[in-house]
Amino acid sequence: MGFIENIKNCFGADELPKEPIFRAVLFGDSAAYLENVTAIARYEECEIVLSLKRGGLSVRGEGLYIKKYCSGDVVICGKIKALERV
Amino acid sequence: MRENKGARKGLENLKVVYEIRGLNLDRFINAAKNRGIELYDIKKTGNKRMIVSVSFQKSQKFFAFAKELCYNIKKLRVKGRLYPLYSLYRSFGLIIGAVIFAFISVISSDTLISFTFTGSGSLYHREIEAYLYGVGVKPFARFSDFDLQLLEDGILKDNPYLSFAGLYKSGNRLVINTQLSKEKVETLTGSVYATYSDCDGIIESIKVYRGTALVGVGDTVKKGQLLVDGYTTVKEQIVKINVLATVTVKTYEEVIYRSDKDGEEEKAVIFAEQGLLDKSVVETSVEKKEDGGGFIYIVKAYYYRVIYSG
Repeated sequence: MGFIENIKNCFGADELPKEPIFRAVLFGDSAAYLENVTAIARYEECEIVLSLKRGGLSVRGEGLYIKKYCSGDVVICGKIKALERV
Repeated sequence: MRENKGARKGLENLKVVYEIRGLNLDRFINAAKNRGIELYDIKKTGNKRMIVSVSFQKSQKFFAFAKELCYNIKKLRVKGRLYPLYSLYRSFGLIIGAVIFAFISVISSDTLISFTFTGSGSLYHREIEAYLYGVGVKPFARFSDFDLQLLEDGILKDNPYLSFAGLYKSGNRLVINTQLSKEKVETLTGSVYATYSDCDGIIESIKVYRGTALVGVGDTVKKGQLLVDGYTTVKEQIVKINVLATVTVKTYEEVIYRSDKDGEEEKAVIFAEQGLLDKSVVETSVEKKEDGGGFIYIVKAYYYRVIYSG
């Protein structure tokens, strides 16, 4: 059973998309791993804006830097305060 | 394309750190990603400056890519767990050369090639050499394998006709300086201000540790002649000092041998040497004269007289 199917079964949420626009995993407030990122729209130490297939995602915090970026996967480190769809 | 796992596996952990300068660094990051270049530890250090790490395998491709996009790129360092091995790998030839050079230097300077004998005692160089061979000191032996101080003591014990033996290393040669003497060495008191010759002869060697030599090797001296004076010149000023010196003089004694027979020069020499056993005769000359029906053989027996002052 796939990951999404598991979540659907757990939460009974039938409206979860089969193909998510992006997936984000937060490790406390010190790191975030994101999938399906198409580009880095803006990169500042206090905000990193990621371009997705539809729309974008803003990661705000302090001392942010990109630990790894390749093939649509991004790892952001630093003090992460907020993730917001833009 | 199959990965070259054998050769490159050990370098996976290595990363090369670059500094990128230029406008629109966000565009650069996206362009690198589109080219399949993985970027690590991306940190902006200004509007137009960014530090980024790239895996070692992709570093050349990344460098060319950055140059192609006309960004200024500068390699800062290599990092990773295997960096020490990487450094060794890069400078392997240099390390091998340094090790070989050090090895050859140590071995070559530590190897004894030949002996050099100096001083009046060099007359007995065969005996000294025989002793050294007997204790394992011979050509191609190692200086580090023997103690020069012990060898000096050993040479003196083995050769009773020597009063002094000094050994030192000069390159690959062992210099053996020895002095002849059968007389007891007087105590050096440090209160002597001049050295006089106590015999007629020719200077064989002169070593002045303190004082000023007034004669040189080969000079003919007379009994009572001043050989070393107790002064030295310091910044154009004459300073009085006590003398510490060793002078070897080749002198002789005359022995008269009388006989009725002619042609007994050899007997005269043996007679003279027997009478001068304490002198270590090194050379003889015989002069024959007629004397009232018989013959007088005048033997000059040369020996070395060592004069110490100190």
